[in-house]
Amino acid sequence: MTPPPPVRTCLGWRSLAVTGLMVAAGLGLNWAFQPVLHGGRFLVPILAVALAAQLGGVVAGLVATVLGAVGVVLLFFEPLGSLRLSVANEAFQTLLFVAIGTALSLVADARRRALGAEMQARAAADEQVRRTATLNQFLRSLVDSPPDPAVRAAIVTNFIVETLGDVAVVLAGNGERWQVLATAASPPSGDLQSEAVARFTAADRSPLSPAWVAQSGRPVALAVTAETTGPVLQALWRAGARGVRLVPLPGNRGVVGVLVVVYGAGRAAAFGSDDGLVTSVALRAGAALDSARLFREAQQAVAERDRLVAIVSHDLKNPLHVALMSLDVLRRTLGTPTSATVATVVDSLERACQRMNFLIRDLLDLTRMAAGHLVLQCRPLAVGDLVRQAVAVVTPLARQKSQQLHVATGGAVPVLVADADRLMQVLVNLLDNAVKFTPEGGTIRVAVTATDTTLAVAVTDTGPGLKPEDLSLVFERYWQADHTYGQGTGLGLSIAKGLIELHGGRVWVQNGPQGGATFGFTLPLAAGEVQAA
Amino acid sequence: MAQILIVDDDRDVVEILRLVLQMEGHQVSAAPDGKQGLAYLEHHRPDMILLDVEMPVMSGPDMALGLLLHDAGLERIPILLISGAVDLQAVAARIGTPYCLEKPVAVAALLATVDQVLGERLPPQPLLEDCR
Repeated sequence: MTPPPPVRTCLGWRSLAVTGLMVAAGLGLNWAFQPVLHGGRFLVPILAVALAAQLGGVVAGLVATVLGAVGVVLLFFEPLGSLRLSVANEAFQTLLFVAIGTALSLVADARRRALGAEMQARAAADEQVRRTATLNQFLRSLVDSPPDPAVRAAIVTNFIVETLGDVAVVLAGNGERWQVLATAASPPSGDLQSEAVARFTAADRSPLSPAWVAQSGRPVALAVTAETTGPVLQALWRAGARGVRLVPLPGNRGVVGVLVVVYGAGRAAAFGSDDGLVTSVALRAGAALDSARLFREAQQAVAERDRLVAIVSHDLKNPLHVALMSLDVLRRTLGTPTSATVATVVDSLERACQRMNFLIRDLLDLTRMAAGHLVLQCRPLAVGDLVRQAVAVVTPLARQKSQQLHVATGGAVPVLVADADRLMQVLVNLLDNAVKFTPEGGTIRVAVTATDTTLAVAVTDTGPGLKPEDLSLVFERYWQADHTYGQGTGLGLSIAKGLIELHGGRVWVQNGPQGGATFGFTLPLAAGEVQAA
Repeated sequence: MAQILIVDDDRDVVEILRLVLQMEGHQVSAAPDGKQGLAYLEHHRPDMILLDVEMPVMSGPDMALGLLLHDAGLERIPILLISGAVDLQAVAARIGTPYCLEKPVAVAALLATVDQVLGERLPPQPLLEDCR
């Protein structure tokens, strides 16, 4: 920031010389035009006074007035060469000239002052606008930056060395251990930068340490001079520092870092005047670092959760495998006829194990899908067969509820390139839901239709349908119809949606005009090598 | 009737697999990790190996690699991977075995696959793309 030029109020030697010259020129012109200006001896000198006042201020104007009066009286009024005024008219003219000269000087000076103040105000406003623009640009780049503490800290240090100090360091840490997140120097001043980094990352609890500033939450600013004591400041002085500022970077839960600004001889002026700017930079930097930290923590938490789910699911599979296989063996060894009670118990044990198995599979699928690790194994398959297999899976359940299951494949169903297991999973999920929500004796229809480019599968039931407000939510994770809460993970439809979208298709749902709901999906028929991202 | 080696660290899993296979008339041996599996193979030559993936001391894939490096014909023994690992197919592809089953496995599926393995006897071929 460059200060506006100060308003001149006293007369320098140069102004005095100019004033003298102007008066002399005025008197000279007076002399030259004597025949024309007869009687108007002060006309030209008054112009000189006006000019002098305009250029040199009040003192120049007054000096010009006095010199002009003396000059005219000496040179033009009888007796020549004397300051004595013998004619009343001439005395009056002189007095008038002095009065007008004084008034002109005062007016010109007032104008000059007003002009100066205005210029100063304009310069200050310009500076403010420039600062705001720079600060805004800085803020924008902070907001747009990836949530990486090091990247954001680098934006802060670059901004500081562009606008304020010679060296900027953003430190992160706690207690006595502080490490550099980013550092910058402008112009690249190796010594000062390395000295600052070395001094402020060293274990230190003095009032000029990051530890102290972080703990107190208050900024510290110190001018560095030859007389400054203390090893840190002396070392900085030797490296060229003239001022140093340590500012805490406030986050939501306390100080998240410390900004160190070191001012060299060239920026010593900024050291005294940038307090407000540094504070606003620190506020924003603290918030940006804090959000980056939160983002990283959230990411770590998600990764940790996924890892945990994978481990837990994997470890659950072993006992489940043993239980299911043992039940299978038990059923085989019992032979027929088995007592009804034993058969029922084996059946319910097996169903419980299968349910647990599906829950584990759902959890695994979801975490893998969220992490983008789910890869499809696509190959050409006959959709008609797949639909019939899926229907066969839910048929026993539908039969228990005396429900009708109809499959309609309109015309020739093309060969689809897709992951058969995953598509089966989706179909069974949709059919299973339809059976679950359709009352006894209801009907479930599966319609498979195809155009040149898409294949559509729709499962329509005669259940109660969905509440209008639920239509947009059913494919959300953990959504469950009220009365089924606790019967599943609420993940099935969300997984179905994810699987269909991995195939490049989309899922949809709508209520029928006479009740019931239709869940469906479309798949592109050119879904060649579909793979998870 | 075949000689089958089960390598799995879960004792309950080993016992139920042993039971099912013995009911079919197979002779079953077991090892709790890849290292002991390799030690067993110093003196025995089973018809196939039922191999778990994640095990302490030495994992399934590491044991498979050990078989490959062993040039006494061990690399010709077919391997049926049987595991709850999430990336089972990828592991099978790495080892190069065309046979894998994801836990939990139904008895019928296990027996069918074992019959298939004993019929085809395809040895592991690293870099094989797919798995049945």
